[in-house]
Amino acid sequence: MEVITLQVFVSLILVLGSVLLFAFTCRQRDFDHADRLALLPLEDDNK
Amino acid sequence: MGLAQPLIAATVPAAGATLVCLHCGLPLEKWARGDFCCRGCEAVHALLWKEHLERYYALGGARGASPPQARTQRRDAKWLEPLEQAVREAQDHAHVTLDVQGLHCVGCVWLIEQIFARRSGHERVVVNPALGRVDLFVRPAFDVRAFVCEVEQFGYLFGSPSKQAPAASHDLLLRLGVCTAIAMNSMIFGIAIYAGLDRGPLFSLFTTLNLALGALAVAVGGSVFFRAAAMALRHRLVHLDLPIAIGIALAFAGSVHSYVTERSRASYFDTLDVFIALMLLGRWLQERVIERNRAWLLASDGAEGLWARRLEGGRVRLTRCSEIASGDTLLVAPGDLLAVDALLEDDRASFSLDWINGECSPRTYRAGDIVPAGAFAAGQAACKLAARTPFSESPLRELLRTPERLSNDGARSSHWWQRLARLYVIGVLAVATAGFVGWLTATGDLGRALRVTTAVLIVTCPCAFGIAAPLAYELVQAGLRRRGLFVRRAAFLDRARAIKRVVFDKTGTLTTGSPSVVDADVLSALGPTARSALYDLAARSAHPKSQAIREALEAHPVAIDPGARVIELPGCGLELVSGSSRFRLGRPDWAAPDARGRAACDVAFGVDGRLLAGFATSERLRPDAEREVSALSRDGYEVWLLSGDAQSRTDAAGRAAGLGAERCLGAQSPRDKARFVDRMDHGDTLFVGDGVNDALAIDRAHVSGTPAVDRPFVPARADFFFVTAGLSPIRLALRSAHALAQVVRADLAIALLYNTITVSLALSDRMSPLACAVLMPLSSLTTIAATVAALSPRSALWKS
Repeated sequence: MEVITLQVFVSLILVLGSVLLFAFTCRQRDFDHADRLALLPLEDDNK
Repeated sequence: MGLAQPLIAATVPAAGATLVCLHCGLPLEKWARGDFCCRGCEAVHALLWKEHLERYYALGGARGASPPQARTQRRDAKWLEPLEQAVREAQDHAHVTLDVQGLHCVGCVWLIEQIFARRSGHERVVVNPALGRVDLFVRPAFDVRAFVCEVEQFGYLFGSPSKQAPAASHDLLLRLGVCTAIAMNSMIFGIAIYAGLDRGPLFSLFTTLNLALGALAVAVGGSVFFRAAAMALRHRLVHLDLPIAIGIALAFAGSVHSYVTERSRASYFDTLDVFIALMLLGRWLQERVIERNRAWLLASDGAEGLWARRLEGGRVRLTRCSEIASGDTLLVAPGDLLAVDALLEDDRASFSLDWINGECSPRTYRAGDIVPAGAFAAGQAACKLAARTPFSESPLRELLRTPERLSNDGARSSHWWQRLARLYVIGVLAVATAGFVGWLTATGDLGRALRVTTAVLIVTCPCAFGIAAPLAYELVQAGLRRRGLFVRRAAFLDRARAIKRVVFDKTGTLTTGSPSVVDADVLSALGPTARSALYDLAARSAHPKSQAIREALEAHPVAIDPGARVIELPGCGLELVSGSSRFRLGRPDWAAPDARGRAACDVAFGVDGRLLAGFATSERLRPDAEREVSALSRDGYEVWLLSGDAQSRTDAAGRAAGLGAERCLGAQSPRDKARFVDRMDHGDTLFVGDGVNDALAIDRAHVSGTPAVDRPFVPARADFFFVTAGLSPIRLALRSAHALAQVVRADLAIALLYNTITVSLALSDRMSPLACAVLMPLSSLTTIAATVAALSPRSALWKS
């Protein structure tokens, strides 16, 4: 039973972490220029 | 590494498929120019190849968005001057922010980055299509104007940075992410409980965690609906968010009650969390397309965004138009807009009045003449004028006024939705009350009566309102966007259903705004030398009639002579001296005086006074205007044509489009047009116009649209704008509004069926949290599937 409680605790921490990361990318406004970010893998081609 | 093979446009169709434009991918109509839907597409395609930028197509560029034919010669670019100065005066680095119109995909981003990287003084560029903004990080050597001009050749338009970041969908995205995470986690706890966990410390932990997650979801996601519902109630409106807010509040209260009083039956927190996430998803979908459509255009800063050059103590000073006083001396450069009525002080100057009265040919003024506000300098040199009025008295002020946003601008608050929401709220509350009273009377068990009431309130959560209907709106708006029509106001699709009358402006709306040569066979009679001379003349002028002759000449084997010296004489025409011959193209009595009175034409081409060819030009209808007008009439719409142009020209255009003279009204001032709309519109009129002279009518009409995407203050007032060469998106929008209504009704019917079943179960106290957790998403999925099937890009609506 303690193991499950521990797992629940750890998973909630992971969820919290992912929500914070999501909030961070939202604040960076990455979703506004996702089109440009999609081009980054091609950057070498331009040089 | 570049691509090994040159790419053709990514839109080449498979054999047997509908032919599409090689540039923008829109279906090719009968009148298409070869492989392109319009001249703009053809020109941009050629330019991309010339500049070795064809990779644009590999990145999906241009799909579904025909480039506007930018009228750069009639755009006021004074806003650029302070930015240029800031770059020149920067120490080492400068940061310039520009608004840009026409961005829609990764191909656009790539194209602008490539053009930027080719210019000296560049450092870094960030292109943001969602906001329609470009941030340039440059050194002082960077030529901002040259960069702007080069990018504008591809059909984009730049403006001063005045767009506001769209906060609504950004905030919703964050809330949606948090609520989705909450919903998924609470479902994990819910599944354990449904699977049989009904006692012990783990059960207590899970139910308590569910309560905490539910409270968090209500705080983060529910608050959006509480706020909107409260605001609507303050304005005495029954907003669609009201039933959602009531549903969330009562479901949460009921679940808390259930948690406190009888833990063993658990509660509906997981269902509530999923519901909130779905409602937020629906709301975000609805906001997203509208925001992207608005960001596609430059923001309108109305009269505040206008600048003028004022002479002060022998120096020219750039000043805001609002500061112009009567008597000020203004210097108007080619392409500048004149913001007030002014007296011409120079000998002669030509101005284009197409903003004011729709005339497509520039008009020549002489010293002492009064040039009206709204005229664009169309000559080759700057001219001096004296302001007759301060800007506060200029007629432009009212026409350019930035419209106030309607507080109830949204599909969710249209009349139809309000009535539905009111019925829904009354119905749910009546059923819940009846259940409570019934069970209390029959059993005398307060706990059971409350449990039944809670179950009723939870199972009636309005999924069809909150997710399926927004999805339907999103699919229709996205479909129209693919066809080149951008919806700017969410309520447009609701209001469009009531339309019975379509009123078109003439110049620039029903017509292309530029003339064409009536009888191009005249050119065949010319010898090669004369034809080459004519091409040299016509190709060097921006005058619309010269452009029409140049276009007609392109069907013949002609080439420009780079060494030819052509002089343009405002009000007369063009002159070319070649060897001992003096060729002229222009006003008949000037270009070929020998043929005076004999040539039935409005433009003459002559050599040494002798007439070589006379050209009659006429305004060109949009390529599908006749077909669309007759199709609209066939569909039962009353079609009218209004114009500021003379009655005879309006009648001629109307006749060509298949309209009777009784439906064509010429010589209409901006106020006449507005009065006409006031008189005719009983909540059933669509007005489509493009000029500043249409602004008042656009404001008054029940629904309005415009093709004038190069003049932001016009689309800022309209419900939609379109960027196609033809008018077909208008009919498609009207038809899709009706299709949307049918789909929404079907969704509501499914929801009604679901509610009948679940409410019956809840009222008979047979509803369990597990059944609710299964039935509610099932109902949502059914309505979503029905919506997607009816409105997806592959549906019959978009294929017909």
